[in-house]
Amino acid sequence: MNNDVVLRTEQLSITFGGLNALNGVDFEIREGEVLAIIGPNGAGKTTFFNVLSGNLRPNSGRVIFKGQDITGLPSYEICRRGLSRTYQKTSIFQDLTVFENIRLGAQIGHGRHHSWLRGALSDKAVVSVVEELLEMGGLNHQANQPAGNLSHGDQRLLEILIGISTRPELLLLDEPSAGLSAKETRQITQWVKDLSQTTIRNVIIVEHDMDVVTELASAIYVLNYGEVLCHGPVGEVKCNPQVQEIYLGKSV
Amino acid sequence: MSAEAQTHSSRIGWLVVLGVGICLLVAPHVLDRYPRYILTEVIIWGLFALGFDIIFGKTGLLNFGMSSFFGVGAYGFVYAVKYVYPSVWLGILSGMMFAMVFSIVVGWIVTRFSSHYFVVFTIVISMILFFLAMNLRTITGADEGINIRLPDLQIIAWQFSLRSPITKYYLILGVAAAAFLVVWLFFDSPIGRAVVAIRENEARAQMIGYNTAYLKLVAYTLSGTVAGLAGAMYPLLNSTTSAELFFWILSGKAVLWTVVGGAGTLWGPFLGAALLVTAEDAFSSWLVDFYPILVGVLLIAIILLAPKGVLGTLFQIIAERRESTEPGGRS
Amino acid sequence: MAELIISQVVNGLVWGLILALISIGLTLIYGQLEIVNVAHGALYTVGAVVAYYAFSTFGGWVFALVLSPLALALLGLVIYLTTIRFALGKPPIVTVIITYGILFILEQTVFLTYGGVPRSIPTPIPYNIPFIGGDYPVYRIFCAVFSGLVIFCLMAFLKWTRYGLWTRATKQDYETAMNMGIPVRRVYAFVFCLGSALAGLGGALAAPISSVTFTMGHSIIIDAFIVVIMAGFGSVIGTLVASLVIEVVIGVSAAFVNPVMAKVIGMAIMVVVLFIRPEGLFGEK
Repeated sequence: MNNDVVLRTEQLSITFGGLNALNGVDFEIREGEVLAIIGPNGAGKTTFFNVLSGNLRPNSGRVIFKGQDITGLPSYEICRRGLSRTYQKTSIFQDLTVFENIRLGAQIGHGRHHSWLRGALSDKAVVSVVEELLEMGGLNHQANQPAGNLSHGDQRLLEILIGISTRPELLLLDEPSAGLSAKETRQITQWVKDLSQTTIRNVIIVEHDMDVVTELASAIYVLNYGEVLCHGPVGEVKCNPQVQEIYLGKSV
Repeated sequence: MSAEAQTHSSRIGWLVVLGVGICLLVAPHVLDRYPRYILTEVIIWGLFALGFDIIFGKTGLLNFGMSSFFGVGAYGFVYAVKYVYPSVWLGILSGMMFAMVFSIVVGWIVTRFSSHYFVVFTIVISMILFFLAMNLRTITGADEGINIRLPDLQIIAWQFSLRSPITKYYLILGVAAAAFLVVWLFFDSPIGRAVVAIRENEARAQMIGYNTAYLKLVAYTLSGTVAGLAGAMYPLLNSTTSAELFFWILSGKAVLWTVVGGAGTLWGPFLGAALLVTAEDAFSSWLVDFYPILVGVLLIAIILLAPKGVLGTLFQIIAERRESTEPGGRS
Repeated sequence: MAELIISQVVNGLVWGLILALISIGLTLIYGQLEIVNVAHGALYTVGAVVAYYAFSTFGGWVFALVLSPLALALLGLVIYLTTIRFALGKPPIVTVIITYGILFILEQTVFLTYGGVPRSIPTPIPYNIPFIGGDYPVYRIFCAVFSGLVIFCLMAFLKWTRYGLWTRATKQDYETAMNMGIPVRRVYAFVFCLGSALAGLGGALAAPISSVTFTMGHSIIIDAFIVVIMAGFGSVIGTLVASLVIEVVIGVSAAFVNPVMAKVIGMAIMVVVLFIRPEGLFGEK
């Protein structure tokens, strides 16, 4: 396994109306790593993701993805280069079927999205990719349901499936277990673990649930007030007294 | 509706379409002169409303300025036939081209803006165009407009005089059917579905890699071109055009017909136009004064009580009853 | 030439203030309820028509000036209760179409009752004051001053009174406002009535200086939309400034080009502003 840096940020900073949402964040993820970003509410985790995915433009600093500077590029361009992201608040196509939700990403993943006059469903390659993904997520029996009809747990799963349908090289998961019951959380954690060991090898997860983090991640970055407090292997970070202090009361 | 949804559950639907198609083909020989004229108008208006359905029903952008495309298309036809070369095909092509260029230019500006600004922009542009058209008398003839003599229709070796309303009817029907087919195929294709994704969740569409600004421009252009094509049909039918075609009330009618018929269904605009134009005509003798009020009330009632319109609500009922076993769904 | 320009500037300022009344109504409704009130121009027209009837039936101008905004506030309330209220949670298209329907209904009603023939109201203040080249109607000056006063009172109201505070609070954060016990629904209704009243007042003021006809709202609504977009939806001060600027620009342009082209120039300015600053001059992103 090669250890190239997949993505790194250099002194990433962004301010909102006087507030330093991110302050000089240096971050790095290498091939095959699953990194978690933790931190109290308001620490800047989602803001960090928003900058990486092109939804926000930083005031200073750079984001380097696969050796190229992607700072300030529009989100669709960043996605096309292989960086995909899911949302903490489920963002799917509620009125379209589950199948269509995934197909939309898959067709881009196959570069087929410009085609004008051929029926979308006649593209066998894309359709089989979708069926594969549905199978992987166990949603094939609900393929024709409007996505809005799915249970919350299944919607979170669909959220991730859409994220990987474009065959990204780096996947950003924003609180995948948000709103899930303990049982659903275990299920989705196991599922993501399998995913990270097979298909999508580079994953960055933002999470609150330390059990999920311990299960999935090899290393953690801790954000606090927009700054990187510390980072390192999971065990090490968990024992860090500062981190324990911040997570007072949480089972670190 | 996707190809699969059609083959599985809409056999009845296709039978209906076939039935309607046969009626349409036979109609001009069966109807009297005036009803035939109304039917021809309905086809034109339906096509016009289809333009609106593209940008609103499918893309989710509320364009209140559809009348501009219609007027541009009409004048494009007239200028070509009167000043360039008396050919029907040239006129139609010219109308479409004028509308397409206009759509690209305006669309490029307008699709950059968020949805609320977009609506207002389209209203403002359409009103200004109306003022311009009414005031540039030398160019547009204002409300008196420009009259033309229709040249004969030349199809390869055959020549048809367009003095016969039946010939006109078939020509217009043919053009509308061809346009409808193109639009239908477009929304079945990958790019058309990407456009629909914008309607559903633009932010997410961007985050899976779609350049939504570009796609919106594509949809806007298609919408304007179709509406412009409908506009070109108007002088074809009436041998005249006028600046009144730019009047913003016409834009409102496109909205009304589409919303009543069922936004996003592509068939809906034609149904809505058919229902309301015949109703307006039926009213014209004694309720013409109240018609706009009824239109207003109807718009409000539909959007609050049955927002999906006639066809939309019908399809929803069918979808809820049928056991879905095929991919595609609402598109 | 200089005289012409100066008088156009002054006219622009007068119309700018009247336009500000209307535009502020529009921007309040949008800022509060997220409604693009397509019927706003029709409300203006109704205000002018009410003033016409008040004046021609009862003779008193002051009466007309008071009756119009009250009548429009009532009309606004009726519209809100029968239609807008049901659209509040729904996507923006719903309210746009509703107000579009209201537009049809109002204008046609005016057409059927008032008629299609434009009529004018004799100026309530038939004096002129000597100004530069000729005489300038005092009434127009009155309009400007009166509008300015109303706007000032409005801003004071928004800043210092309870309802004003509530209005701003619900605009900022709907849920927090609800939790704080603010009667949000009532604030919505209130704002809609206020916006309608402002439009009506504008119409009443404008009635003697333009001709009263059922389509009189069309021209002014274009200007109002241009202003509101340029200023940024929701900003009261910005709308005032933008109204003045736009009307002066259009007024001065009209001295050199066709009035329609002057409007196109106004629109072009709006487009340019939006390209530079998409959220409007004073808008919040």
